[in-house]
Amino acid sequence: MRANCWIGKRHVEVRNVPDPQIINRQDAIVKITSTAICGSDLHLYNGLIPTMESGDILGHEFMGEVVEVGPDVQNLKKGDRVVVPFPISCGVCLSCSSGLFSCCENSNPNAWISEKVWGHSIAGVFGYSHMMGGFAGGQAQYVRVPFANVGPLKVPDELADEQVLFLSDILPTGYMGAEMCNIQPGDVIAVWGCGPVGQFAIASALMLGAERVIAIDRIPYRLKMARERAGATDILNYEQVEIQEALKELTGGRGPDACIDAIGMEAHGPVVQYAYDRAKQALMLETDRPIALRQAIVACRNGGTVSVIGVYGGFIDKFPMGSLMNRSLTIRTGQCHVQRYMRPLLQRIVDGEIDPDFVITHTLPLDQAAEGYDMFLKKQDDCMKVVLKP
Amino acid sequence: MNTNARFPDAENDAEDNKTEINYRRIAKGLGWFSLALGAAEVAAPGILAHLVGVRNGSVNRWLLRSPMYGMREIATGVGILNHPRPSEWLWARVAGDLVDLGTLALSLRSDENDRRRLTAAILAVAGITVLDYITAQNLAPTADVVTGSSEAARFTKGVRAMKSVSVNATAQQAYSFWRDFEHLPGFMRHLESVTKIDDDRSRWRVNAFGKTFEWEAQITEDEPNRRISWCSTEDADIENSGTVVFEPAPGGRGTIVHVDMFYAPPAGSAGASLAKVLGRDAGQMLADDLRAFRQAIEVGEVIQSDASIHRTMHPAQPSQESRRTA
Repeated sequence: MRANCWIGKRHVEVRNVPDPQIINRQDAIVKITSTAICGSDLHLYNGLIPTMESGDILGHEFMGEVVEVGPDVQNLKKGDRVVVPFPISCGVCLSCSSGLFSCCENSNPNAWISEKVWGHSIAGVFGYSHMMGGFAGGQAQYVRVPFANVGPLKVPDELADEQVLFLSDILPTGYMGAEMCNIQPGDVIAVWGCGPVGQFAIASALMLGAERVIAIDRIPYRLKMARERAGATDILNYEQVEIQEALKELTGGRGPDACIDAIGMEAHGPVVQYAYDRAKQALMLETDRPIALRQAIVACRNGGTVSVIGVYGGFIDKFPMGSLMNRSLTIRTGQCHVQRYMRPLLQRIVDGEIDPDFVITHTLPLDQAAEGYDMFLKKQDDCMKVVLKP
Repeated sequence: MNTNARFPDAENDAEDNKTEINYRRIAKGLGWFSLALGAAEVAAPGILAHLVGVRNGSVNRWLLRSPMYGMREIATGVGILNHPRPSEWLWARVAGDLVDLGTLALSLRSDENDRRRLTAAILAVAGITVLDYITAQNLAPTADVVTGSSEAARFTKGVRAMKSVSVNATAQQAYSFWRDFEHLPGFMRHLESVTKIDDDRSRWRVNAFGKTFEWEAQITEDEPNRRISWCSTEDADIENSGTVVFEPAPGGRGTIVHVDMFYAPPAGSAGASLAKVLGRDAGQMLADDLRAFRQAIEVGEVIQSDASIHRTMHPAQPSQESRRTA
């Protein structure tokens, strides 16, 4: 089959590789009809996530048709059309049974590597390094899906791929970011980052009852989409205004009730802060650049919540712990527990409350994956989201 | 099992074990010494070369900075200061001392070097080698640290591996699953086979460090749903013993499985420091096997990825020879 493989830093290539096979009894093989490039794939593309091997198949946002099932798969049969969540979860361990699917204790065969880095491991993830299990990803013609009884969600034929594909990751991730803010009527929410996850965090905050949502980015077309499509009430370009001042101005000096970091480890920011973190990263004194996170903490109102859905890998510097502790802030985090949100969000799509396909700007054949990565990284041609068709 | 029995008595440490406290203090001193010497070698290799009496040339300066000397001192210093019982790092110091002694002795041959200063340096290093050796000896894990199982105390020099895992099952389920030894190799990767001889005796084959080891194990204690202890018999390739305890987790959150095992290194006490390195691997192997135990009991099999089914590094993509277990 054809599959998009990570070869090295800023180098991906669509190659011929063997077809996947059933390995475990709860496996299914899915023939992929649509797959997307995620912002977090760019961390891999930029070589910032350790334990990648040349030849790893990328991709953790995908959907398609079940073509084969293992002997212990009861919930699916050949021909079912499914969306597959990015965390691989067993459904029965203590984490899964408390709804923390992305923290599954049984799905990462290389858990020992993440234990060395993080103390404890999380679930296996498709196409996201060997420390996340070494699972082949879904930017390919076929993929093997372990624990097929737990993850894949059957979707109605009336809905197009583009309407349901993002149930695999970015829609639930944005939604969880908003849900963690515990939004009360009248709340003002600020969202750092207007990539696809940020767009869905904005839309979800509004669905959950926020009165105002302030979107923060530096790229005009992303801010435009945040206002026109996701529904942000205010947009701020941090290259034009001083963010802390602007947020105080918009909230009467108090700060947003909750702040969402939808950026993560590769943040940009004001020149000096950016240069500082870039230098520390280059000297390996920190692995992640937490510019947005620092701003979100400092901006949040006393007693408010900082919700982190942008991906971090390792260690950061100059974390404003004093601001966090003294001002009674709550910090909430997590890789999305996708399985928990897929059904309710599918219902919202069916009911017409949200139509996630607005983020798609480019659809390319799988063979042009490399162009897609390059364009997405460089933000060329107003690129927001690339969908690949195998 | 009283889990506290697995660790030295935290409350009475200072009163009961003055000698150990003293050796820990000496170790700390040696750690700072390592750091200081390493820093000097890296920052001012020329002055150091002059002090020990070797020629102050660019090759010698480069060598003094290198991972063989300066960087090594810094690494062992950090290692010693970072661990409460840094015996492994102290052994690393002993090995480093021997490298230094060898280098200095070889330097005596050359007329370019100052033999008087070299002799003084050799005496100084020899003195510190003795101190390193004694401290390492005294901080090595000893049998009296091993509590809980008297069988384990049989081996005074050996490797101890101690790991726990929580499983979402009752103590009874976990005990029965473990007690049925013959099916353990089905999911524990390092076990090749277990054959039952009778109710209390079984034959074990283990694959470790690229070799196969065999022994007969005798159950020494069997308390249903609570505890199993075993010990290898005379002809074992690796003498070993251990205990597995099934402790109901608080709040009905499944069962905690504690394993505490001890084995004598294959090479005997001569390979003591090698065994310590292996000991870390033994801990990792035990942790891997316990994780597999949890998966087998919770989901019925061990999950593999396209990369993990290979014993060596393999990219995350399917291969022709993918194993089909279904």
